[in-house]
Amino acid sequence: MNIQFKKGVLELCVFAILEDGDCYGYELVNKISKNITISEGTIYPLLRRLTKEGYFKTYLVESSEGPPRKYYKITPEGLVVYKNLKKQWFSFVEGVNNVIERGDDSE
Amino acid sequence: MSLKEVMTVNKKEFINVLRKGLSGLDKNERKDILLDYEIHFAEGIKQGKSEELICDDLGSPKEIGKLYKANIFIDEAGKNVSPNNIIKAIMASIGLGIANLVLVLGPFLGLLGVVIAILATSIAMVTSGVVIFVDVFIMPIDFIDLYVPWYLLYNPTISIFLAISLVMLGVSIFVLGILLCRVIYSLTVRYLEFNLKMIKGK
Repeated sequence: MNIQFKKGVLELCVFAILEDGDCYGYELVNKISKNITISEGTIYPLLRRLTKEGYFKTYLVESSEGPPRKYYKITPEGLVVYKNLKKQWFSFVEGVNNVIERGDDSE
Repeated sequence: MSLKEVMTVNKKEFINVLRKGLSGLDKNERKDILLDYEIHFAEGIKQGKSEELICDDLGSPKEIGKLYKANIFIDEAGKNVSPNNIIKAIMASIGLGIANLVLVLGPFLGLLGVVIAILATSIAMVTSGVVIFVDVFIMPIDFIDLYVPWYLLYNPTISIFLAISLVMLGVSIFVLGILLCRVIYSLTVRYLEFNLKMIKGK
């Protein structure tokens, strides 16, 4: 199976998770891969790009045992983009649902 | 993940393949990217996952490296307009398999040909205008075999009108060509960005 997800959806997931609170990389990756089957390694490039675009900020937190954790925090600009993406997503889903339900009626 | 991709089984191998895949990027950026994965491994091991399982969940380091490259080169091409940057971005996209060779390179080269033809035409027009002006008004050009219709030589009004029109038309077409160049450039970058938004599920 070679399902193509639109990266926008993955972006939306990352935004949604970070809106709830700051996350470090591993934690964020796990939250997504728990729900969506995806190559986990592709989330880091996405995080990097969105950070470069100014939607996230990062800060390091030393952990008592193990490696330092790089936390991601959503910026005000990121929040604006997230709200917009979310709106687009819901109208898209609503549209698809309308089509599917109508298709069922006619059968 | 496509089956042909060789999967890595431990951290060292994963990092090595990724490092190779990131060649050509800025040294600090490369170090920073690799650090993200080093930390990911360390975190996973701490939580009791085996290196092999972590590798399996991460996916192909080769594909990940290509993804970074495409991301960074397309970004670069959008920010700093240069022929070199756009070619790097196109090559990275093709390498990633997100942009089909024929679909990107075909139209791109075709449009490039059109732009070059337009620019060449405009340069030829400006040159003709200048040559007519010089030949008729300043001095006959003898050192090259030039064909200037006889009626131009005896009718300065028509020749100056023709010379000025040619130059003006040539310059306008040149400007148009340059504008077209910019449009094609930004369209190409946008197309590559759009492609990058498609990712494959595992």
